[in-house]
Amino acid sequence: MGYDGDSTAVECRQLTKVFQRLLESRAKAVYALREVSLTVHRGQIVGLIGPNGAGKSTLLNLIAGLILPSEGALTVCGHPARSIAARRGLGYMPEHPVFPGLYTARAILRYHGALLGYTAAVIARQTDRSIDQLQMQEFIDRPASDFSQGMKQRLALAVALLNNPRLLLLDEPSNGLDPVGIIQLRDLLKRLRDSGAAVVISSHRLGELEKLTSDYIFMHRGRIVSFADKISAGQAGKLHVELVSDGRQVAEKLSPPDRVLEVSATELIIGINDPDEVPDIVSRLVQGGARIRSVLLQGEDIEQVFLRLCKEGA
Amino acid sequence: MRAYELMKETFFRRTYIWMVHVIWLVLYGVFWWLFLPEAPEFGRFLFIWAGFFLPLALSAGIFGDDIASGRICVIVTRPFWTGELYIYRLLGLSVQAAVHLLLAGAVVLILHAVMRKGRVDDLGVWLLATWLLFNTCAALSTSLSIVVGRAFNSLLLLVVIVTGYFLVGLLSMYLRDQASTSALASFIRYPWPPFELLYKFAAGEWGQYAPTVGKYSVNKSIACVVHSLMLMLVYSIIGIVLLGRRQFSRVRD
Amino acid sequence: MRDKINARSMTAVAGLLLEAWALYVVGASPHRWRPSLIVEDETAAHILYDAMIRALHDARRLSYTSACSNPDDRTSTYRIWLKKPGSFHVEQTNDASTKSTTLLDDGNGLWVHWVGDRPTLLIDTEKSHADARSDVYVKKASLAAGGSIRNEAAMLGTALVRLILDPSIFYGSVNPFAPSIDGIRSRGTNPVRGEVCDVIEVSFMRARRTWYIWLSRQDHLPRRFKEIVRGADTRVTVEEWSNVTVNAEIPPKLLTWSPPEGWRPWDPPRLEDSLLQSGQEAPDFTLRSARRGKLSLSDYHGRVVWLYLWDTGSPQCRAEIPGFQQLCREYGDKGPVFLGFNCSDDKRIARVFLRENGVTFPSVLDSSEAATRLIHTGYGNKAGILPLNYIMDPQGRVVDGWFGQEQDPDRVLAALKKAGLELAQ
Repeated sequence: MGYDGDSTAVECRQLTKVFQRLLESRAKAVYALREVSLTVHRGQIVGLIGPNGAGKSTLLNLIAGLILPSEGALTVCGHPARSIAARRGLGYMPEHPVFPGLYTARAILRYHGALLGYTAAVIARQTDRSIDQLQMQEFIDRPASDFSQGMKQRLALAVALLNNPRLLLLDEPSNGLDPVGIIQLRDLLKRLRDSGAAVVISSHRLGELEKLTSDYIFMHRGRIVSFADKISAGQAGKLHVELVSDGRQVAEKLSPPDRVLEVSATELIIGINDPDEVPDIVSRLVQGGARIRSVLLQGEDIEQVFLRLCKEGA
Repeated sequence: MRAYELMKETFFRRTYIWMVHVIWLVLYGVFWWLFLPEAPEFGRFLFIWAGFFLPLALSAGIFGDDIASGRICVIVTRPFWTGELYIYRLLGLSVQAAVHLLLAGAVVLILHAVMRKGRVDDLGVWLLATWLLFNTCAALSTSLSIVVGRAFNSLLLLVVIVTGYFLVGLLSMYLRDQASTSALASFIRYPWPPFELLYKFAAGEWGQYAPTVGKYSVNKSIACVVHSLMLMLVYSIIGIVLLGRRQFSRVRD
Repeated sequence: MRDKINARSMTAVAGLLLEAWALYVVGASPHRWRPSLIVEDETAAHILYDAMIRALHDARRLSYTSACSNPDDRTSTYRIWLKKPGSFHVEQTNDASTKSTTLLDDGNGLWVHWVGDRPTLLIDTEKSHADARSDVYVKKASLAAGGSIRNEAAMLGTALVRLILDPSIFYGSVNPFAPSIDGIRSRGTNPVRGEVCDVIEVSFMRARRTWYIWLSRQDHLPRRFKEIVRGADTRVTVEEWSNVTVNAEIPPKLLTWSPPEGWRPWDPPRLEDSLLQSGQEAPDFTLRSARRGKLSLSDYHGRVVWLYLWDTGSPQCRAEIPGFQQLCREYGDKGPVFLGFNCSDDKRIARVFLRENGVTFPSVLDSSEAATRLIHTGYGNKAGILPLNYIMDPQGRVVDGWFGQEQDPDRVLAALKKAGLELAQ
């Protein structure tokens, strides 16, 4: 199972999704996604973040082929989304996995293995691998009606990984997982990434998401506000410039002036969107007469970025 | 293996499925033990209970539950034609019905041997007619389950069928010669689940009065079977198309 | 890909053709399926039928119980004792009802009486029922000279379901449908209450009526009849014979009766009494015509009208209609307007019959509730007996009305003359 041709796992061009009920006017329709364009490459782990209603689940569902776009183009693993070829390399884990109560975990894996077209021997092998990888020994032969949330998450993850997917879609994967579980998940995802798979994670739990990935796609009101390749959390945010000269005079000359977040006699704090801006800002400060003692780039954490972008979006 | 798992799932998807079978079989036994009249009623009773009510009970929420719970989302991301999902689940119901009817036939034969009442020489054709009716109703109910939430597909089908027959009966009584009545009667006879045709196939054109004489001719019998299978196919095709085009997200995000 | 599309198209077309064939076959069109129901004669089956008639004719005494039922779950039971030359006793009850009718012919006369109050009969009016409600009996001429036990039982009895086989055949009378037999064929063997029976199928009048008869191998007498009458509706009746005994002694008290003290004779109304009388205005109607569209009686005001109620199930009607057409052709505008009225046949069957007989005179062909009610109530044919004739004058008033069993040319000419038409015979 691999990509046909190129190394893109997901490619969206001007993707739009409108939810409109029967007999509902267009004015009342919900634009869940508006002209979203993005590319996820092999070997990437990308986190989708945004407030409620941002379009994260919609985007994930579109990639998974569960819904169809209203406009735009979408390819998954080099094939049109929803096609059998696209689904061949896909693993999907929903937010609230549900399993038939009478089935044991083993039976569920056998069921999904059968859906994948595997023989009994292959299913047995994959099951054993899942048991080891996800610590499922304790509940592998218990009926699903007895499962805790954490067990369901592990099983759902095992189901998603059954076909060694080249693109893994995870919706709130850390629900119910304890810290050990989250660490194990991170290691697992890294192994996947290293093997050339792409992973797209949608989550509200920013702190936990930080542990899983460092590339993000920020979404707000159906649009992509910011990409992970433009900002790496922790690396950008505020530029602390310690000055020898009076910071206020220097700040007045800086353009645009609202980039200056704080001014004191000896320090300027400037907000930046891109680490590449740093040399340019320093250069302008110097040209403006600033005498710089030190420069410190202080990264925003993911929460700060999230809140800032939400505020900007609003 | 996929076929086997999907067919097996129709029995194990809910804890109550096996109970439905047991209750139905007990119901047959109790009814026939207590109420068996002189005229043979085995076939008629089975025809309605196993041919109509049983598929409603077994197919309740067969897709609706998965769609409502979101379980369908993982299933349809698997690399196989979604039509197989429909076909094998329907086949699973059909196999369950076949086994159920064989057991019902065994119950009848035992009761007949013990009580020496009733007639069993036409039991085979009644079982066949019942199975054909089951398949048609199950296909319709399964297709409805794709668009109607949870287990309401069965309730909807029950209400629609009862209402349809009630309307036709009413119109036939009061407006027998109107074009609309005959149009509705034709609709009830042909695109509708074939209750009347399969009943005639099993009972003979004039029912209880002749076990062998007056039975449907060979041509008509074959035509009845063909028509009911075609109906099942049409309902199934509708269901497969609906399933293939359906989008599985309730979230407008 | 093209191969795949071709295979799919071919499969779809094959499926459609198969379904079209299935729908054609199961389509409920009596007209289309009538020819296949017309039975061709088989010698062996005819021999069985003749053996039944002979067994009935040869027996000196016969008794049996006949239970007649129909799909509406109605059952009427007849206990029948027959003794030649002309005595019989028939007791008739319905289901669990306590009402029963006894018809007894002792060779001198036919006595009819009822248990308890006399029930309302088909021929009753409100007055006739009120006037003769209890302690009454009917005395008529014996049926030994010819008559129908079946018809008497239907007119004077309370039965919900009529006998299929007229017990009068025992005395040598001919089944009225016998001249119209298309053919008789064998339908194998089938047991009835443990007794092995040969089953024969008899169709009459081009399968307008079909009998299935289960004949016992012991005595060649029936054990079961099934009759299917195919008109606008299909009516099915089953008659089960049980307790069949041939030539056994019948207790004399069963074949004699005299009215108890205080009982009075009752003269039942004649069927003709319920018909429209001379001078009465014939109810107008607008009903579906055999020629498409509708037809009204008032369209023919200004001319003498001969209204003829018929259906293809009456051998007499089938025989008379060509005669009417002949008269119509001969007299043209100088004669009466012949107006047929059929409310009990399948439309297509009736149209085929009219076409085959070259009928050009107009005919109502309408089996709606309204048409049936008009004939039963408006035109007084409570018992649905056919044929029924009415002659009406140019003002739409009835001149004469009679049942067609006895076509009296003098009566016809007199009625036409009274209506204003002088015709040469």
